[in-house]
Amino acid sequence: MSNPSRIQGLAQWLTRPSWLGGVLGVVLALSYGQMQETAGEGAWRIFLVLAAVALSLGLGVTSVLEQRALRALRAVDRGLLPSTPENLRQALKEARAIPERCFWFTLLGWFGGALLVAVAFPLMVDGTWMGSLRIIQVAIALGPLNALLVYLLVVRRSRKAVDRIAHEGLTALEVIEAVPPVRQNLRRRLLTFTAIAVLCPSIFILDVSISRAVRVMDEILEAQDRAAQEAVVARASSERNLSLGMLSGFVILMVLGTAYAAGAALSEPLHAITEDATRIAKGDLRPPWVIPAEDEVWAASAAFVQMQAQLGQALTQMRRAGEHISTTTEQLVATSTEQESGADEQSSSLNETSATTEELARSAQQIAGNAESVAGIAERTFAAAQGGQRNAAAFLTAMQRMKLDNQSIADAVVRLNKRVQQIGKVVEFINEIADKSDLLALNAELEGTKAGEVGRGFSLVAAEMRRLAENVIRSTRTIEQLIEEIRDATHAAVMATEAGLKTTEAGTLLAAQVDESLSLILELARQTSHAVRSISLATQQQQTGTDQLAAAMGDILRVTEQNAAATRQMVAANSDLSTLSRDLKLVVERFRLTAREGSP
Amino acid sequence: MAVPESEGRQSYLVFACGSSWYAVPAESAAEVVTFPELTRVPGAPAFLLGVFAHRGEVIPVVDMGLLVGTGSQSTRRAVLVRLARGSLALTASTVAGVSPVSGSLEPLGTTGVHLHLRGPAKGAQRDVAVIDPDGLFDHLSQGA
Amino acid sequence: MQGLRVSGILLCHAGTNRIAFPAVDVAVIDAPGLHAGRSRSASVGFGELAGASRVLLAPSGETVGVDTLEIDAELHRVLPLPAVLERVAGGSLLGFIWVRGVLWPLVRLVEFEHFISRGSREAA
Repeated sequence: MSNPSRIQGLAQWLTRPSWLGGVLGVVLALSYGQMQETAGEGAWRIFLVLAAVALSLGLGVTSVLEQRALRALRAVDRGLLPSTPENLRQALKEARAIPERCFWFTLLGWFGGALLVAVAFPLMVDGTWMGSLRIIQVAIALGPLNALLVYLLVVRRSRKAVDRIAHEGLTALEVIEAVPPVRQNLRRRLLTFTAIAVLCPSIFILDVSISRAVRVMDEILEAQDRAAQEAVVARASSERNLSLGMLSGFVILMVLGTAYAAGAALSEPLHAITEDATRIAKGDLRPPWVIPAEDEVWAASAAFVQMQAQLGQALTQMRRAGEHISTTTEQLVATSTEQESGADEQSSSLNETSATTEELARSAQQIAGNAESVAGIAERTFAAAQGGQRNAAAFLTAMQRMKLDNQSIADAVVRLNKRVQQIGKVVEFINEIADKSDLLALNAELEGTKAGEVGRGFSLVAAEMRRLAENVIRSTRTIEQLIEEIRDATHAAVMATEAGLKTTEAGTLLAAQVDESLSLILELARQTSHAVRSISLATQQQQTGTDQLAAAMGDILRVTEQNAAATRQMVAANSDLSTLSRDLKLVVERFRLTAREGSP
Repeated sequence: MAVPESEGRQSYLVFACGSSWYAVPAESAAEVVTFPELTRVPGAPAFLLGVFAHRGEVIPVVDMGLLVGTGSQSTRRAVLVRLARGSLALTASTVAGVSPVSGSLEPLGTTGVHLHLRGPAKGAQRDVAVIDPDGLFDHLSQGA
Repeated sequence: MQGLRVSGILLCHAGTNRIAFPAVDVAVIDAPGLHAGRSRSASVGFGELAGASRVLLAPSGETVGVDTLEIDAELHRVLPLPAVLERVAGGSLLGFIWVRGVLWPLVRLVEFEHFISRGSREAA
């Protein structure tokens, strides 16, 4: 709930001047009437009564109208309605509209009252309609002026009321939004004011002067002689001078007072605006407060308030931006430093990778070279293995042939053996015979020897026979030897054949093994060729890959360098940013923003 | 058998067969011969290598090593010992020469041939076994 | 025996050894087949063991085997036996003869046979 002391009774306070204005005006009118009219006491009393009636009527109507005009405000200030922004806005609008309305109400009251008196008075005192006219004339003369005065007084109060209503719960911008400066009627107002301020007193004074002059003229005309006329003139000039002067002076004072009020009404908001502007220039940016005014000045005030609000917002944003920039800058610096070191690391690791890639390339070349030589070896091995296989095949054929040969040899040997056996038997036989012969001869020789001289011849013959036998034996022995040799030879041949067979078999086996081995070698050679081709391919691919890698790395290196350059630029920019944010901060700090605008 | 005590008066032919040195009375030692291929004798003991003809005479050759039991010594040289009853050649690998021998002439053994080897004696700066030719002859004649 | 002369000698080889027999000691020269098992080779006397291709048969029936033999009808002087060899070969050794440039031990057949038989028996 709002603070009741603020706007309680605001409506009443607001419209109080109208009473004052009304009363003042009536007093003025009455004093004028009192001066002008020569009616009797009774008429005067009736007039007073009428005036009083008119006054109270006028005031009553005015107050009713005013109450209606300040419906919401009254409700709020009495607590009938809560001080919600909606209601406050309504109250605000009413408070803003009330001065002009008071003007018209006052005017209405005056004219209504005047009309009433003008109509009723002649009827009651049987006066002439001229009097009514005169009353109406006075009303026309004094009414607007009075209304203007009331208006000006109410304007000042209405401004204060706006201030107080706003204080209840509206911000300056909301106030401006509620009662936007739409009507720019300053010129019209000034025109009206000038018209009223000039014309009204002029008319009043004119009327007074003319009526007095007419009256004096009438009196003069009525007077017969000159002395009476001079007395009338003297009377006229002495009697009513003071009161007339006072009245005129009073009216002039009223006019001046109105003018002063008007001037004040104009200058107050401007003064306030200037003050605020100066304060802001000094650096004290408080939350904007509405400086109520009307028309163009209200537009200026509203604009000023908006400008203040915007400025405040801008400065807040700037400060926040500055802080944000500061933090962001710090982060950026950190990131840049990290990035720089990261870039350095990247660079060095890339260099390493580059070196490794070069090594890779070299090793790939080596591998390719080795693969080439291996391929060559594999080729040669292949050719050799093929040649070997051919040789093995030839060998196998030879072996088989040899086997056949061996077989035939074996058969021949068997036949030979048989023959030899036969020969052997024969030789044995011969040997036996020879042996026997030899023995015989030997014995014969022995006997011959034993016989001495006599048996000499016999011995000789026997010796001869023995020699024969020995020859035979020797021959047979030779033959036996030959047979033995043949046997040995054939045996050797058989052995050889068997050996040869074995050899052949072994050779065949060997050939088979060789063939197998060669096949293996061939296979190996083929596989080696395959493997070498694969290695070659892989090496080429690796080469391509390595080249690509090298190219990619070159790109990466370039990018890294660019990155590094960009980072350095960023660092430089960051330092600029830091400087900028610092400057910004300095600028913002110049404006001492209160804690209130910390809220969103 | 008489055991002459040698007082260095007699000269001996000192020779070695293998590592053993012997001395034979110089008067008995006829010569040192180089024998050709020997004819083996049937029924002869092992130490009797064989015989050879030397100047119309058949000389048996005895291997001293086998005789004394030290082992055969291959040599073509022998010392020809000539006694009245016959000749005998003793194989010698080295002949030192003729020199006096001093020492005792006690039998060096109690059995077999060692009875006929005398010593200990020294001849030609060596320890020699002096051979008693007669005794040796007797010994050889018995055993067969 | 000094001054012994002999004509008619069987010059034999028994293994690597030479041995000669007087022709009068031998009745018949036979092939070994006829005396298989009974005759010993003369090489036994030399401490060797060899076969025989001829067998010398003494009149008294002793046999000695030899490898080869030659009959030499010439008269040859028998070199006297060295004293130390008097008792060898069971006293069968007569002496030595110089024939064909080499010495041959001249041996009496029967005594020699006895000797080698004894030797064989002793050896057995």
